[in-house]
Parts: sequence; C-alpha cells; structure tokens
Amino acid sequence: MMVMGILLFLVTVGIAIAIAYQANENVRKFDEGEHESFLGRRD
Amino acid sequence: MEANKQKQMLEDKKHLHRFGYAQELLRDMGGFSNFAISFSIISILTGAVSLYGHGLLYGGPGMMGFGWTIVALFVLLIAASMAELASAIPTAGALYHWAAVLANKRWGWYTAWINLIGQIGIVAGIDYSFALFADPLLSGVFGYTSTETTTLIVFAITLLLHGIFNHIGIRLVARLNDFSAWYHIGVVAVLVISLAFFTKHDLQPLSYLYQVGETFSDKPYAIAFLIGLLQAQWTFTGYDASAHTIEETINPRVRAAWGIFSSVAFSFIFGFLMLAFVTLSIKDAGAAAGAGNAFIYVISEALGGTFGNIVLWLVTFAMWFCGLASITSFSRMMYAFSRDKGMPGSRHWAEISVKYRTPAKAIWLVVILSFALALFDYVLKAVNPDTSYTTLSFLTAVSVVGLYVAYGIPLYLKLRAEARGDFQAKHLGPWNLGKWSKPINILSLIWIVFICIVMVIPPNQNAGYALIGMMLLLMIMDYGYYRKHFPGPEAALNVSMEQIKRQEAKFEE
Repeated sequence: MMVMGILLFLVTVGIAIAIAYQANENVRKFDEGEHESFLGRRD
Repeated sequence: MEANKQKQMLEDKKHLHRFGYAQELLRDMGGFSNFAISFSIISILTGAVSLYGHGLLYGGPGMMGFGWTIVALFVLLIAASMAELASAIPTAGALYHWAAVLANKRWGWYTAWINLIGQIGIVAGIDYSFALFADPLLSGVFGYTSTETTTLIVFAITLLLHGIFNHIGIRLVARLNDFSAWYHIGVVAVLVISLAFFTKHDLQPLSYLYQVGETFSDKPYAIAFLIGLLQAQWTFTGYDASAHTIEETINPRVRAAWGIFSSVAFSFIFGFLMLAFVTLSIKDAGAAAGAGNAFIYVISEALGGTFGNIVLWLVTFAMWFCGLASITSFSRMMYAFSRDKGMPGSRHWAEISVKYRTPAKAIWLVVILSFALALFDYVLKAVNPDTSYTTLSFLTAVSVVGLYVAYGIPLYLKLRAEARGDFQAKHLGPWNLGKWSKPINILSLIWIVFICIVMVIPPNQNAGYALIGMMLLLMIMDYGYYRKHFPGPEAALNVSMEQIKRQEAKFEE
C-alpha cells in the first residue's frame, strides 16, 4: 500500500505541474486580437 | 514600473466595461495577495486540524496518506476548471455570473443563492470555530469560566473586528492575508521540524501513513473511509475567493486564475507535509481518535503539553485570518449579485463606500447574518440544554455541499455551451487548459456529484434534507417573484459608457 500511496502522491504532483505548465504556455501564447469576450447567448 | 501598472489597470477596467460594469472597487491587489486570500480561506491550519479527529476516527492513519491526496487530486482539477472560467469571465460575481452568461439568468440566480447559502455557513462556521478555540484559551488568561455565553460574546467580537477590517479597506485586508499565507507556511514548518526532530517517542514507519482497513468508528471500513474524506473536502473550500476579488486584482485574467489554482496546489503540499508528520508521530491512534481534539492530543503526546498549548494558540490565530478572508469573499459575491438586483434590498448591498471603496453594507449584512445563525444555535441549546444536535456542524455540512454544487453548475454549463457551439476557443481567457479543458471539466463534475452524495449519506443525511428544503424555498422565491423581476447580468450590457463613466467618477474625486 505504501508504494501505491507514494505513487498517488507523485501522480497528483505531476498532474498539478502539468496543468500549471500547460496554462503557463497558453498565457504566453495568448493573442488578445483573437479573443472575444463571452457575454452570453444572444437569442 | 508605475506606468506599466497604470496601463494594466486601464486594460483591466476596459475588460470590466465590456460586461457593463463600472470599476467601483479599488483595484490594488497583486498576484500574491490574490493567492493569499484563497490560501487563507482554505487554511490547512483550520480545516485539516479541526477535522483531524474526524478523519482519523473514520479512516484511520491511511486517511491522511490516501484520503488527503485523493481529494486534492480532484480538487486540483476543479480549481483548474474554475480558473479557466475566471480568466474568461473576470467579474466579482464569478460562479453566478459564469452560470448566467453560459446559460441564462435563471441558472445564474439559482447558482448565486446556492453559493450564498454555502458562504454564510462557511463564514459562521469558521468564526464560531475560532470562538470555540479562543474562548477557553482566553478564559485561562483572563481568569473567567468559559461558557456558551462567553463563546457567543467572543464570536460577536470576532465578527465585529472582521467587519471593521473589511470595511476599512481591501489594502489592509490584503496585507493581513499576505501575512496569513506566510504565517500558515511558517507554522507548518515549525510543526514539521519539531515533530521530525523532537518527538519524545519514535516516529511511526512511513508505511503507517498508508495503513488502511482500520477504523475507530462502527461503520464498515469502505463506508467509514468515504465519510472520513470530509476532512479534506471541508478543508478544500473557499478558493473561489480569488474570483470574487477579481475586480480588485491587477491583471486578474492571469493572476486570479493562478490564485485559484495555486492556492489549492500549495495547500495540498503543505497540508500533506503537516498531516504526514503529525500522523507519523501518533503513539496510540485509538486514544487520539477518541480525544476531544485529536490533533492537539497527538502534538501534546509527542512534544509535551506546553508545546501542545502553543500549537493551539497558533492554530487559533490561523482561524482568525481564515474568517477575515471569508467575509471579504462573501461580501464581494453579495455585492456582485446585488448590483444585478438578485436579492431583497439589493440597492443597499450593491452600494460601495466612497471613502473606503468597499461594499460596506454588504460586509455588515454578512456580519449580521453570521451572528444570527450562531444566535439561533445558542437559543436552541438554551431551550433544550440536553440536545446533542449542533446547528453549526449541520450548517457546515450543508454549506460545503452548497459550495460544491455552486462550483459544479458553471462547469456543467460550460460543457453544454461548448457542445452547442456557443462557447468557443476564442472566448477563453489567457489562462486556459487548451485541449485538456474538456476532460478536466468532466472529471471535475464526476467528483462533485460523487462527493455531494458522500456528504449527505448518514450520519449527514439531515444536510441532504435541508438542501432539498432550501431548493424548494428558492423555487418558491423564483416562481413567486424573481422569475419575472430579476434582470440578471445581461441588463448591465444595456448600460451606456456615459453611465459607467459617471458611476466611476464618484470614486475618482
């Protein structure tokens, strides 16, 4: 169980780092010109 | 540097104007302050410590190794999903506003009320917990006898102080939250180092942290483990605060999003370290699980009564900071909902103090409502002193389900809006998950449904009944009045730029 527990901890840390890396990349690549504010459905 | 800041603030104001809102609140918070407010509300020294006994009782030592990590894993996904929406729709209404624009104003209205129910329980619960810890400590210092009445008085004074600090301004509250973040990290470091090097007995082997199958409750282990998850799940709440203070944050589309995500990530790491070392220093798990405060019992056994007492003071101070930040978050949510006229007396709660640039009346309404809840509990106990019923623990269970339902609704609506082609990649803010967005949103929703069911199974079934009752009450309010009279955030889109400028001019003089 200890090995499973340590693996679970490492996976959680790994996922957190991966999400942070992905989000940071997207922040750097963000182009304001292509962005449009979402103001809701205009029925 | 200052010129860059001014330029960024102008940009932030422009983004807010697109949603039809004026910049009424003082935009002064940096990235660390935004992170600190959520980190202070999550407060590993409040939730994980006060519910340590709950986790140990039901899940045994394995709850700290497995339970904390499993919950953190899914909460990280929820936080990432929320951070993405905060970056796309950066307004103080947050969950409520996201739901309203992703679907319609009625979804928004229900989300807002469910969020408000969750927030009021959290504020009252945290400050009342502080009073329960602080009153016996203060009675030792000042030589009086701690009773239900003195606890209520300490609670009232605490709320009053939190109300005053919040009223005076976001600058002061932000500085206190910055200090709170370092304070939490410092206390965890002191605990970990002390337990690692000065424990009176030998530490348990690392495998002890992952020992499952042993419960000190009368439930089968699988059920007991699920009930024990509440320790971690209760701790990981309130990180929407970074989104509620988004109109007070500079460059919020990036910084508030990071605030939501990183507050959960760092709470996971520091919380894990603290729980691991406390659990490894347990001498007798059965005795600890049966103690009034299992956390303090373990610390006292490991490091002596004096150190246990010091830790008690340190934890109590952390709760004070947690309560302070909770009121900030709740008042901003109430302000945002009221400016769209979603509450009775909205005109007052949406009013911003010209002098302090804070939603002063909303802050004091939060204080009054929180006190009223505790007073209700006090009167119930006075009428029936033998009751084992505790209103606040029940309300806390209700509030956590309320908060997670409010977190889940906009995530579901985002997936729905994407499927319909309404919400597209061009609508995402700078902080986004790209192609990972959809799977992360789906996993987040699955966990929210699962944990909401876990939270209302016995012994917490009353929380489920109460939530159904509240939903019925909300439906009566909705069909009786708000269905036809709630303009929703879309009404703000009809506000002219002249009106917005006129509103902002009031605060610029």
